[in-house]
Amino acid sequence: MASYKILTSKSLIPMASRISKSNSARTAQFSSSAAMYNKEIKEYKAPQTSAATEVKKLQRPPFGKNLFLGKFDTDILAFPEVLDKERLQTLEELVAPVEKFFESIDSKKIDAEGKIPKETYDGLKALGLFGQQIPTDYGGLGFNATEFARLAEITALDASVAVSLAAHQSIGLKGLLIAGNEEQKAKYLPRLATGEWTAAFCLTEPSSGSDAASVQTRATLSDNGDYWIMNGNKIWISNGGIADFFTVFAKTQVRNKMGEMEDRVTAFLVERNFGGVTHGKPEDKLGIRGSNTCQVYFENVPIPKENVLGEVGAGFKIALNILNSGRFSMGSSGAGMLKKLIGWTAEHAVSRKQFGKALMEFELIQEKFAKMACTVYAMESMAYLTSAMLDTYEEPDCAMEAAMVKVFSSEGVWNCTSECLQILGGLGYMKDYPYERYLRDARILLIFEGTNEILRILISLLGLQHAGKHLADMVRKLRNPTANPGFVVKSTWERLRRNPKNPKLTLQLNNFLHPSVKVASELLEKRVLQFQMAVETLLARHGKEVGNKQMDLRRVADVAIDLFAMSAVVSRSSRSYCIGLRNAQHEVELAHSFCVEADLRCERLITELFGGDLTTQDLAIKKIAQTIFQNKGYCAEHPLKQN
Amino acid sequence: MEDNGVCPDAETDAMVLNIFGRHGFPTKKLRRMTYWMPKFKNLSPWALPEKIPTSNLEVAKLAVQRMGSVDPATEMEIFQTSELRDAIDDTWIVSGQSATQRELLAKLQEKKTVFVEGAFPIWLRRTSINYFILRSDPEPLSEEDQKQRAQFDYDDVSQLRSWILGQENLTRKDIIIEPSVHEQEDGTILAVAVTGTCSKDSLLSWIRFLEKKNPNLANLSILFATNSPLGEVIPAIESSVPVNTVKKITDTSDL
Repeated sequence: MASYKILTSKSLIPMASRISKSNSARTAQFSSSAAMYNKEIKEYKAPQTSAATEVKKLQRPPFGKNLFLGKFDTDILAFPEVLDKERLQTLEELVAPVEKFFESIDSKKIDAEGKIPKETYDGLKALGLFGQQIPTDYGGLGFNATEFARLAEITALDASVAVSLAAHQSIGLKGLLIAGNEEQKAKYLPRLATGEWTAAFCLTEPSSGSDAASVQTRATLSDNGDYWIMNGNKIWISNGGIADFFTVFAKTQVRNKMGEMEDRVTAFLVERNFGGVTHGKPEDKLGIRGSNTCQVYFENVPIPKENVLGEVGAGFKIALNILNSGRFSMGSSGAGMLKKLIGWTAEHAVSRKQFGKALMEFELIQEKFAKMACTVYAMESMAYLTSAMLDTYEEPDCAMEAAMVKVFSSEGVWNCTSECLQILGGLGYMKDYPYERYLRDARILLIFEGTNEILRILISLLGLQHAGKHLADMVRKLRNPTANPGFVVKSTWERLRRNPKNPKLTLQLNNFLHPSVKVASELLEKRVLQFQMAVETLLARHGKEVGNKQMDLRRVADVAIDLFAMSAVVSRSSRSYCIGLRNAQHEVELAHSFCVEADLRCERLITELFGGDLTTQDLAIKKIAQTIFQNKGYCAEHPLKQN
Repeated sequence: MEDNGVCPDAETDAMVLNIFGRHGFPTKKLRRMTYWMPKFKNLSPWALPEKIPTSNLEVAKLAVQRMGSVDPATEMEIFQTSELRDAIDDTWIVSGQSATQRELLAKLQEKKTVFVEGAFPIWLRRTSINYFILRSDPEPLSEEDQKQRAQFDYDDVSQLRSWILGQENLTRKDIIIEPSVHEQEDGTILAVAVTGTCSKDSLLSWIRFLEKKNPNLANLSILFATNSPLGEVIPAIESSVPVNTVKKITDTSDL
C-alpha cells in the first residue's frame, strides 16, 4: 500500500538513532542543507509505472542463521509488501471463485468413502489449481510464493484435496521447476499444469523414512548407456494410484573424485507409460482419507537418460531442496483452516448457554479463544514473512525459516483444532460436525514433509553450522582453557559484564517499530541477545559432538522458532498499526500477548541451555529410557504387587 | 484534501516532496495525513461498505446488524409478509432478536403489556432508515433483591457455593446475576425490526412472525404506541403506501 512505503522510507525511521550520532555528523547535515539552496530546482517528473519493470531483488543475509550469531536483520521489522496493487487485485479476484468451489465440496463424503470424486478434480483443474507455481509460459498460473501461500489458505478447507494438490505441485513436479532443464520442462510442464497428468513424489521406502539417503531402490545403466533400469518399491506415496508422472529417487553407481564407484542418490522423472510401474491398494488412513496413498512398485522400468533430473548422483540435494521449498505454505494453510474453525466455534460459544450464561462469558473459554487467535496470528505472520523473503531476496536461504514455519504451524494446528473440539464438547466429538475430521486430518501435519523432530534438529544444526564457522576459533580456545588461560579469563569477564540474565539491549529494535509494540520488541531483543550467548555456551560445552546432543538441539530449535515468530508478529502488527488497518489495535494486542507467552517459554529453555546438566533432567531421561528399552516396556512393578 | 476525505497516495507524496522539499509544512502535513487518515477510515467498529447501497432492504440489513451488534448472539431474519394469510401489505421485514431477548420475552407474565414503538431513525453515514422496537416496561429489582444486593458480603468465604459443586438453589447471597444489555432503565428491548412500508399492518405481520419463535407473545397484550419514552417518534402510517424512503443528504459527496 502506498502509505506503507512512505512510512518505511528512510526519511521517517529511525529518527532516534540518527539524532544520537556524533556532533560532526550534525554539522555535516547543516552544511549540506546550506548547499541545498545552491542547487537548481528540479522539474517534477511523474514516476514511470510500467508493468514490465522487473522487481529488483534484495541481497540480504540469512535471517534465521544470523540469529545464532546475535545479528538481527532489522529489514525484517518492516514487514515486506511483495505484491503491488495490481497483482493483489488479480489475486483477490481469483480467491473468490476458489472459495466458492471449496464450499461446494462435500468433505464428509470424501472422508467417509476415502476418495475424491472426479468432479472435484475436474473443478480444480478448471480453476487452474494444478499449475499454481508453473510459469505462465508453460500454461500455469505463474504464482510466486506469496500468492501460492494465499491460495493455500483456501485449499486447506478440505485437507484431502489440499494434500492431493500439494503432492502434485509442491513436491511432485517441483523438481522440474527447481532442477529441470529446458527440454524436460517443455515436455512435461504443460500437461502437468492443466492437470492432464498428475505428479507424485517417490522418496519414502519401507526402510527409509526420515533417513532419505538410505533408499534402496536401484537404477542401473543399461549396456548401451541409453537407458536406466529401475527396480524397487516406494511406500506411502500420495497420488501414487492416480499419478502419471513420478519424481523417483534411486541409488545409482557413480564414480567419485577418487575414481571409485560409490552409491549416490539420483533423481529420475518416470512416466507411468514407460511400463513396469504398478501400484498397490490405497491405504486406509486416520486422516486425509480422500487422498490416494499407496505403494508404488518399479519393476525393470526403462528410463531414458534424458529423464535424469539434474546431475547423476546429485539427487539427495534436489530432494532436500524440493522438500524445503514447499514447507512454508503449511503456515498459511493452517491459518486459513483455523480461521474458519475459530469462526464456527465462536458462533457456538456466543449462542450456547450453560448455567444461565453464554459460554463466551466464562474465563476458561475466553482464554482458549485468545490463545488460539495468538497462535493463528503468529502462524500467518511467519508464513507470509517467509514467502516474502523467498520472493524478494536474491538466492534466498530460507530453509531454516521454512522449517520453523512448518514445526510451529503443524503443532499449532493440532493444538488449536483440539481446543476447538473441546469448546464444542460432546458435539465436537460427533461425526455430524466437522471438528473430528479436521482433528484427524491435522495429525499428519506433524509427520509428513519432514517429521517435527527431524526438522527441529535441522533448524538447530543449520544455525549451529553457520555459527560454528564464525565462532570456530573462539570455541577452540574456550574448550582448551589450560592452553588459552588469558582468553578464557577475558571472555568469562566479558560474559559476566554482558550480564546473561539481563543483557543491555544494544540492538535498539524498537527504533524500527511503532512505539505501541515497544514492550514486545524489548522482550524479543532480550531473548535474541541471550540466545546468542546460549549458542556460544553450547558450542563451547560440546564442541563437535553438539550434533548428537539432541535434547539441547531441541531447546535451541524451540527458542529459534519462538524468536522468529516474535519477530514476525511484532513486525506485522507494527505495520498494521502504522498504515491504520482495521482492528490494528487488536493486532497489537495479539502480538503483545504472543510475545509475552513466547518470552516465558524462552526463559525456561535459555536457563536450561545456560545451566547445562545442572539444570536439566537430560541424564536422568537417558537413564530412564535405557531401562525401558532393556525391559522392552514400562518396567516399574505393579502398585499392588507384594514382595 | 481532508475536506473531501481523499487519502494521499505515493504519487501525491512524491509530487509534494519534489515541489515543497523535505523540511516544510506541506510535506509534514501530507505525511501526517498519510498516517492518520487511513486509521480513521478503519476506526469504526461498525464497518460500512464504501458505497451505501441504495436498495432499502440492504440498508435495513445493515441497520439491524449494527443495532444487534450489542449482543453477539443476535440473529437477523428476513420475512416476507406475503407468507402470512391476512397481511394487507406485501413487503419485507428485517427483524433482529437474540436468544437472550427471547428468554426475557418468555419470562414475561401473562397479560403484561409490550409496546411496539417507532419509528426511530438510524443514520448510516448520510443515509437514514426508520426502525421499530418491541419494548416492555423496565423491571427494577424488587425491594428484597435490592436489599440483598446491598448486603452482599464479599468477605464471607465460609460458605462457598457454586453450580459446579452441584449445589442448587443459589440465592442472591451466593451470586450476583448481572442484567443483560437489553434490560435498560427505560425499558427492556425485546426485538428490533425494519419494514419496507412503515405501516401498522407490516408491524402486525412482524408480531405474527415473532410469535413463531416466541410463543409467549400470544399471552401478552401488545400496544402500538404513538409516542415513546425513548425519544422522538415518526408515527407509523395506516395505509399501505410505501413511505419508508431512504433519506439521503446529497449536497456533498457520500462519505
